[in-house]
Amino acid sequence: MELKNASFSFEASQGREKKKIGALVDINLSIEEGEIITVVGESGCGKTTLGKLIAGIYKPAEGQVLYKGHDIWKLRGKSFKEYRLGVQMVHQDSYAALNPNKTIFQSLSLPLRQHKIAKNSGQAADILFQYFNEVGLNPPEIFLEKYPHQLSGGQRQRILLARALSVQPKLIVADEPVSMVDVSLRLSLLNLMAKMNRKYRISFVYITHDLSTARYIASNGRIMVMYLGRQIALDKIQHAIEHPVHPYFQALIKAVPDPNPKRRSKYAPELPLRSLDMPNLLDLPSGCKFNPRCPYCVRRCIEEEPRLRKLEGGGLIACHRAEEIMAGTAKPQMP
Amino acid sequence: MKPILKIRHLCIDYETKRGTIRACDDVSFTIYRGEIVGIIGESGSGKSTLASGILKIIRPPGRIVSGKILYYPSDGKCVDLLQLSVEEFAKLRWTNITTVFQAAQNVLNPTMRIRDHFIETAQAHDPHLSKEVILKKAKELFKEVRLEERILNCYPHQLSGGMKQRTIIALSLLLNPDLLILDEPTTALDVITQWYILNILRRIHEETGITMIFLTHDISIIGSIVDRIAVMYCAQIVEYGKVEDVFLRPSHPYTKGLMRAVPSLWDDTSKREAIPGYPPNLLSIPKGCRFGPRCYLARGGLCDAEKQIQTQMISIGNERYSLCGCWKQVK
Repeated sequence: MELKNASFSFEASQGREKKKIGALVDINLSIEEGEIITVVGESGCGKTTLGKLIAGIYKPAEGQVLYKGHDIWKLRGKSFKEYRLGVQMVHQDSYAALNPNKTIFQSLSLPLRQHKIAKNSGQAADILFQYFNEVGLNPPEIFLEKYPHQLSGGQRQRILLARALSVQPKLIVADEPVSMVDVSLRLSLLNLMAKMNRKYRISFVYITHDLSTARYIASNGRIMVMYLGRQIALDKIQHAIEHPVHPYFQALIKAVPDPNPKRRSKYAPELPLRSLDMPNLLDLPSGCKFNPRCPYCVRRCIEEEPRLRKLEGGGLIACHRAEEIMAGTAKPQMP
Repeated sequence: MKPILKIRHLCIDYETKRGTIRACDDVSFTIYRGEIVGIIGESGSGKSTLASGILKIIRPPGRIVSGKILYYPSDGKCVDLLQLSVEEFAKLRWTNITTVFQAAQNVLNPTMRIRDHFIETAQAHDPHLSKEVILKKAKELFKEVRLEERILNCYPHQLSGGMKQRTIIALSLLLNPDLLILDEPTTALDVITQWYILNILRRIHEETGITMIFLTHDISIIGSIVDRIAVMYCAQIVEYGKVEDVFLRPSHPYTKGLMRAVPSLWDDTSKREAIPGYPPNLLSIPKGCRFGPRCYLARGGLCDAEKQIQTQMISIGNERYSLCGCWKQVK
């Protein structure tokens, strides 16, 4: 899967004038087979839009979305169907993602029959039994006859995962799959996804705002940090968290609370940010979109928008002063 | 240490078509003045019910069955909140005990300016207060939560989620309360906003010495702010103690499991382990120990969960309490 200079915008009317909100601007990303990529950022930064672009729910305004080297919006017939089956999505709200009037079996057997993976409902049941066992819903027959409201959030989330798996995809876009699940069940869901990744070599795009779970699931994968629709950093996750370079990512890491009460005193330092509020999406700053909040902001940052570039001894980054920050020669300025 | 709130044998029931759910079962613990107490538990464990019980806002089909909630105001005269009439309690609410609700972003009235929320709240308790006095106080509080004064003239829809949350914290402090109950105050907020809110709360606590009860399911937040922790599981408090003790040496298998299940940004990810199974349905609570079916001690044959009927927490020293009869084996 590959995104090439993909952009997407929403229209918003402010008073009489219509404006375009650049929900995604010039995104380049390639996802290898069997890879886990996590996408992090604050709410409103375009994470979910990116997921929907990959899953073919939104069409990019500019640029291309490629699946196995072909533009998905030019695929027809059989090859389009192959893409549709190959890329699946797991949504955040498991309750909204299942039809409340249908039993789990009715909901989940439909795609299998539609795509002729199962010839009859008996075969569909066999396939679902297999995947329900896989995702830890035992015994499967109990769950198949239930309605969504009769199940807990953790169980519904497993069902969504089983639904995505049942068509044997190559890539799963998981949009905050555990944010509405209880802490004691989160880890088992993450483990499950990691297992599927290893066993079937399914690639995952894991969208989240929680860096700790991102690090847990993708310990060998890559992380992409987004800010106001732009990619600002792309790197190996372990390296990125240990040596954050982009000032926004540094702040993001510092803001994660440390559960250990012994390390509490370290928690107190100020965040390296000049302002805590995000700019209005309709009235974006010039140059680097992060400059009003960035402690390292200089004139160049206001005049020119940085492009994503390769950093010596690091990943990709969109910041004019990355080298200085890394060398420690840039002085942060706080109000 | 002076107590501010003593909860004794509190039981709260909800009637449903399929039977009675006891969402808060024989809960007893003491909160001391000037401390921040965290209550952690998963959804459905009864945290919010407990908080509503303290505020006496349980509505049918729910009802408080038995128990006592003793409140010690600063002048020292103890009252049982549950014995108070509606009018008497209304006098305490907001002047002494206040709350920031879950999904607080939706608490503000969309048709009212922020300033009018402050005026309305203050005048409900003292109709003679002038608008100038109230707004002066509101402006002071806004400085405290680092909001600009112009926000007072805005409508709620003009504010971001974090700004609304800060507004509500300011509103809750309007009448100088001495007990603030925060129900998931940072859920649904971004990490940076969350950091900011926690920082504000910590400073307010330092400056005013207000007692806070912090309800959340997020352990990482709690470790960084609270003094004492109560862990709730399936309508019971299973462990209560100082934060360092509970974090570093849990004395209940559920707490232990939770600590192990939460991924952090720095620890070794391979040491993380999930708790098996699902939380029980409150309509069919397991016999004996409620955590028994998921407990590693019970499965390891170390404890006979079916026979163990521990209903009261055991004091295990250093102001710690645990509901597990085998707490010594929890390692």
